[in-house]
Formats: sequence, C-alpha cells, structure tokens
Amino acid sequence: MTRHGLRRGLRVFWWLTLVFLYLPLAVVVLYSFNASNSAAHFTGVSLRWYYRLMGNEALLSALGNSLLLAVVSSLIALLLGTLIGYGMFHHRWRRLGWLVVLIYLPLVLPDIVFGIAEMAFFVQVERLTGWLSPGLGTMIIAHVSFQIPFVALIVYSRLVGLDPSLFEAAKDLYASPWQRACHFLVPTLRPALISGVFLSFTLSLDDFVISFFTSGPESATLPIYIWGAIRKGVSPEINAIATLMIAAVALVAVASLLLGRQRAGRG
Amino acid sequence: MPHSFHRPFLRSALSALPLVGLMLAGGAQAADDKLYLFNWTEYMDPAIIDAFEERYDVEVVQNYFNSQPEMLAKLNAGGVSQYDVIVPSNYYVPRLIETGLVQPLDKSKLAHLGNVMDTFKDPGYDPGGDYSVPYQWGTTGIIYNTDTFPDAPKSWSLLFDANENPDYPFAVAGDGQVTMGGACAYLGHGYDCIGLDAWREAAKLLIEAKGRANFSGFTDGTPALQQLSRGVVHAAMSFNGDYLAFKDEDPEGFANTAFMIPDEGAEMWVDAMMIPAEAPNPDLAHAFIDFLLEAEVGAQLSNYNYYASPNAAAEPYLDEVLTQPPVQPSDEDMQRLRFIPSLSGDELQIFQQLWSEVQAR
Repeated sequence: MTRHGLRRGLRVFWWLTLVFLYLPLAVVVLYSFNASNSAAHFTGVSLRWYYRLMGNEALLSALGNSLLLAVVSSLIALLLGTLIGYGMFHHRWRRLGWLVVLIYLPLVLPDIVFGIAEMAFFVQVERLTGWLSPGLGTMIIAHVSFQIPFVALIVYSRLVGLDPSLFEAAKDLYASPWQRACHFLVPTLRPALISGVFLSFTLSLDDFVISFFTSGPESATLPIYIWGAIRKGVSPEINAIATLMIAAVALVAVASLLLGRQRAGRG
Repeated sequence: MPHSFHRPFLRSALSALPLVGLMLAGGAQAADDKLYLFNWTEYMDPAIIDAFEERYDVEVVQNYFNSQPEMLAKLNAGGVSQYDVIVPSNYYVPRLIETGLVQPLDKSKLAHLGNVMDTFKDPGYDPGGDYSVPYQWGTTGIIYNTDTFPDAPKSWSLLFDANENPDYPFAVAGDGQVTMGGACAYLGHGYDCIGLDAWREAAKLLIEAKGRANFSGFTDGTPALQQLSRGVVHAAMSFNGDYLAFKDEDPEGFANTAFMIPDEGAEMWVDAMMIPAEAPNPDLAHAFIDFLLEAEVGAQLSNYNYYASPNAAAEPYLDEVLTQPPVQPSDEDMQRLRFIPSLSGDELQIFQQLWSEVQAR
C-alpha cells in the first residue's frame, strides 16, 4: 500500500471511530428535546423533560448520592493509593513482586465477581457484628477498594520515572521528612495525584455493577436509578439527565484542557 | 535510606480512620419514621405515597426491582432487615415463606382485611393469607398486530404453529415458567402443568419454535410491548395492564393491536404485599398494607396502574376501563386462567435444567 493510501485509510478509520463514539450520544441529546414520550418518533422540540427532571426527587437524590460517593471514595482512594504506591516504590528492592500482583488482581477481576464477593462479605460481617449493613458506607468501602490499585499504579509509575538522585538531594539539604513531603514529593507527584483522583472519580461515577450489589435502600446512585427506571423503556427524562451529564463532562474536559494549556504556556 | 520518609503519610492515614468508621456506623440503622418500600418499577401512584406520608407523618423511601430474582438477591444481601414492605408475585410467595425471609402478618393490625375479594382470601400460594395481602392482579396473554393477523385464532397456535404465522417475527416471554406454561397449554397439558413428561414435550415445542426463521427472541412483557409498537415483532406475550398503560401513552403506536387470552388457558398472577422477616418497622408496614386495603386507596392504585384490584370494596371507585376486558376478563376467560405453580426441590431443578436447555439450543 502506498503511503498516501495508508494515510487515507487511517483517516477513514478516524472518522468512523468518531461516528460510532458520538452519534449514539447525539441521538440521546436529540431525543431529550422530544415533545412526545416516544423513543421512535421525534414530534417536536420541547423542554418538558427537563422541567420534569427538576421535580423528580428520587432522581435528584440519586444524583446527589452518586456525587457524594464519587467524591468521598476518590479522596480516600487517593490517600490510601498514594501511600501504597509510595510504599511499593520505597520497598521495591525487597522482592515484593507478589504484593504488587495482589494489588493488580482487582483490576483484572470482572466487576460482577468483585461486586458479588463484596456483597457476600458484607452480609457475613453484618450477620456476625451488626456492622456494615448495605448502604453508602459499604458502597464507599467497595469503591475505594477498586479505585486504590489505579491510584497506586499511577503514583508508583511516576515515582519510578523520577531521577533517584533527587531523593538524596532533598535529604542532603537537611529537609525534614515533613518538608520533603511538602516541598518535593507532593509537588512532583501532583500530575499523578490529579489524574489518580479524576480517574477514581470517573470510575466511581460510572460504576453500576459493584454499586448494585452493595447499595442499600437509601443509597441508590444514578446508574441504579436509571436501571430501575428503564423497565417501561428509556423515557426522555433519562435522555435529559444523560444530556446534562454529557454537557457536564464536556465542560470539565474543556476546562482541564484550558488549564493544561495555561500551565504549559507558563512553564 | 530515608527510613523516616513515610511517617507523616502514615500518621495522616491513621487520622483518617475514624472518618471511615463514622461512615460505617452512619446509615446502618433506619429511622423510626420511615417506611422502606421495595416494589416493581412504575407500580405505585405517587399521590398514594403522599397521602400516606401525610396521614402518618412519616417518610416513604421507595426502591425498585425489575425482576423477582433481583428482589430475592437483594433480600439475601441484607435487604431482609432493610425493607418494610416488598411486593413479590404469587409464585415467589411460597419460596419466600419457606426460606424464612418474610414474617407472618398480624391480622389484628389490618382493620380493612375484610375488603379482600373472596378469590384471594385463601390463595393456593399462601393458604389462609397468613403472610401476604394481594396488591394487584393481572393476566399474561398474547398481544398481536391486527393488521397482520386479522383473523387471529384465540389460541397459542398464533405463536407455536408455524402454519398460523409462517412469516412475521414473534417473541415469547423470557420468564421460564410463563413461556413453558403457554407451550404446555397449547399441547393440552394445561397452563399449570407439572412433571417431566409434560415439560419435556413443551421444551421440545419451544426448541422447534426457536428454530423457525421468524422467531425473534425471548422478550419479557414490557420490552415486548415496545417491540410491538415499533413493528419489530407482530405477536408476543405481555401483561394486560401494561398493555393498556402503553396504549394510553402512545395510542398511535398501539392502534392496530389486540390483547387475547388463549382458549387453552393462560396465566393469572397476583402481586402480593409481604413484610420481610427482620423489617425495621413492622408496625408501619402493617399500617401501609392496611392503607392500601382501604376502598378508595385500592381503587386509586388500580386506576393508576391499569391493573385489576383484588379489593372488593374498591369496585365502586374504579374507572370504567378497569371493569371490562382485558383488565377484567370475561367469565369464560376467567375459567381458563391459572396461577403458575410454585416449584421447589427436585421439581424446580428439573424445570430449570429443561429451561436452560431451551434457551441454550
């Protein structure tokens, strides 16, 4: 194949990828403005589903639960994951390979296996101690435990990429452990910490399977609510909330892009 | 080596532990003034919930399930001590009683229990009605496109006889007992057939039906209705009440459709209210069940759902559409309706084996 042909082929693939990524989203957005309650016919433009959304308490509380769960779990995962990542780096000469595999495992495990395992475990604990009845608490624990490996690995790979002499230099300059953490470690790790917390946040917001198995009566998240609501078909109300989420994600993405540009410009 | 390097981290990690502990303790126990209702999706008039909340000055927290296995899984996963009222269907009732997941009702707390229709006072699935109070009842029949089948027979042959429908796509229900019952009825064993021989024959029939080019799939009642309105299938199994609710919302899409109860027999089901064994607030649960037994509330529920009311006292308040077919079947059709038998032990195992074979082949 000529270089020209290859380039054209790649271009076609690029556009195909975009179409399959964004056309389904476009359909959701379009039907959220549908005047009638139908997933098949578009009868006219209206905002009625957005108005209905505002009055839907169950949906709004599910949204609140989703955000609370995502924020709290990703912050805890950030803290614990960073510690593990640092520990893995710090003790890497001790042949702790098996420990690393142990951390990888939840990454590879299908969500459903992990969710059922968590559920069974919580049920047993509750039976024995009365603690850990399904609810936001159990969901946070479950989410943190699948987020930690991601944070740990991101932090670990950032540390491995650093020049080892930097650590010695910080020590040579008589920095106290606290100062070293504040002025050297945290600033150097910042990109890893930021991507770790955002990744955890997204994973938590997205998750349905694990949440489903660990949730209680008052902790339904948005994905759980939507799952419960689709029995009667996907109502335009759900299209409306999906549209709002797409808009929110797009805003965040654009914001982080601009932030990154600004920083790059300054640096 | 910088041995002390990690200490500050460790300390801050430890200081975060009490926070985690707080989260575990918080939300573990339900408040006294809350009722936790675990119900099918879209099966409750929000106005009834408002009225109950107002009368008893409590809050009702609703949770939804899409299938009974899903509900059972949730109960086993700690839900047994988290929900006050659940709404399973008749053939799950014995299973819940046998496994000890529900508690007997205190009939002295149900002042309006007398309103229940005689048909449902001593049902086969819960002798004496000791554990359950009926919520709504309905039928599972065949819904078909009247343009495609202007002279449709009142029979399961519309689905199972290739000569009756050689070309147009059709679906059967994904719920094993519902579909096997239909096949049994078509074969003359009755809708509520039990036993290896009858089931085996029914499974064979279903595998044959699956092999036809116009077999569209195993589709449960509600999605089946959507497929019918879009013309994806031309005949399928679904519920009378959901059919009317869908038709009401999209009259155009369902203009040329009809609901039919096959003469060989079909399913009649009851969804019943029960109280989990360790419900946090059984008193309030009884109050809620009794509230729904009141004549006007019972009627309001049916008027909202398009399903028949098991509440005899509700009759004068029912909308007209609820007093005629397909909600209220004709007397002849009534004779042909059967409950799905509740299976357990070996029977259940054999049935499930046959059903997975039907699905796998």
